[in-house]
Amino acid sequence: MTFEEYVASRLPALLRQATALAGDPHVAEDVVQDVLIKAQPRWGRIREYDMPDSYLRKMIVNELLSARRRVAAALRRERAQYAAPDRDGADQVVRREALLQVIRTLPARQRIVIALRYFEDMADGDIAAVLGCTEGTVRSQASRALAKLREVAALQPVLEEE
Amino acid sequence: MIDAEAIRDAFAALADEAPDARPVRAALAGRARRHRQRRLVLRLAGAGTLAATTGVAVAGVWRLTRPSDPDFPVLDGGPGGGWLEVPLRFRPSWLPHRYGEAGRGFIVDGDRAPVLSRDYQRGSAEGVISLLVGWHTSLDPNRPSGTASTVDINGSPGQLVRVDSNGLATYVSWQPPGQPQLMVSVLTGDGAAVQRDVALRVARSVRPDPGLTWVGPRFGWRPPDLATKPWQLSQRYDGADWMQDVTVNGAGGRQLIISMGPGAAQRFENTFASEPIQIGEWIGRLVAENGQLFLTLPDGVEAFVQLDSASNDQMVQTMEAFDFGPWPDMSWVGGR
Repeated sequence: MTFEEYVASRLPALLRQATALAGDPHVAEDVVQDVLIKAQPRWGRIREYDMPDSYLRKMIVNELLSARRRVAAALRRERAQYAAPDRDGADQVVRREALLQVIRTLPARQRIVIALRYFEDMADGDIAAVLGCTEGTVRSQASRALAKLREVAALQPVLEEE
Repeated sequence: MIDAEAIRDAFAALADEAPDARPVRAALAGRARRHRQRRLVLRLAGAGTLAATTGVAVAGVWRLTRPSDPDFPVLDGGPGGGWLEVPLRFRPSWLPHRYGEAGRGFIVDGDRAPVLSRDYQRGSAEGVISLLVGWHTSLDPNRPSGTASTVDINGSPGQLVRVDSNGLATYVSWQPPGQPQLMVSVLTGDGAAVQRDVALRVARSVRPDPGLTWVGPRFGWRPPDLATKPWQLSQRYDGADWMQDVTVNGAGGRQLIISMGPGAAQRFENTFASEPIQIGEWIGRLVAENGQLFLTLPDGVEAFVQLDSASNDQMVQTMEAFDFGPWPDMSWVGGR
């Protein structure tokens, strides 16, 4: 598969994945472009891997965790001024909006951990491999993120899937 | 009650906000082309060098007397100097409002630097105007091709080329008698007519520049297939940090990049499997999977090394013999 063929078929999925990981579609667009620009000259090697998607996901995660990107994302979050969650709302949509707001403002590493766990259905061991850390670190990052999400649900406990 | 399904729903809703792929794909194609175009003006990601040893005085005085310019940072670069003195030869005496020098590039072939590029920008804005002094066969594949017309540059015949492929660019090249070839590149967001006017006005304003600059870094050893290749050096900045890159291109797209600077751009952020490494007094991480090496030098400057299709030994040997030279004097940033 050529680079152009890959982009044609997989770009929508990459953008969805990056938006979930970044918590922001604009950041996701930027990151995916940067990653593909970097991947193109090395495509000959990347396509030899069994799963180029996994390789590019790793590149997206790395890019999101880069210092420059973290600073830019933080500035963007400050400017974004998301509305405060409606704690009085009890229906599912309201709660999802509240959850989304918390997810967007999580530190990048915490958001990536729970995105990989819940959106990508990855096991903690696989997440650890993507992030280059231990499973214990993954669990502690997830625990911190879930604690923040828990506040959205009026301090009710999150069901862990272990 | 919040459960895993609620979190999944929230992420699915977030993913639904993903941008439309079509314009992203078009933008990507444009960026890839611009990326190739910019290689012509030697704009490379870059960084710096090791021991700062000489020549602080001139740069310091210049910084003190330089007028305040909010578009450009005052960089805490090095003393400058190096093993190869390079005459600047020419500079534009006219540039659009608020443009200042933002980057320099060199092609080094043996013990000569036959090509010097000076890039001008409006602070960190996207557009760039570049003056290329000299030519080298390694640039031939990137020679601009497009709609060409003959122009007059102060009595010398020249050629204006407009390249329009998802990103308009205009080039004017000419060769004054007894001088190297000169080329002005205009890669701004302007339309064709404005780019043409700017390119011609900049070209016609080019005057001799008696200034000097230097190449600091130097290879002591390179993999055999890259050993005799010309290499490129670029100097620029990212935020308030100077950057300097050395790049060697080999057959089949094989590339060696050594990128240096005090900022985060070179720092080890990679989460691929890596292992600690020490080369002399430099400590760092080796990412064998990607052929990458991240080093932290004793003065805090970071160095990033990438060598395609190489053994770890080749990377280590390259860096063991690499002379970073004095860090570059960047006091020219923002000047005209």
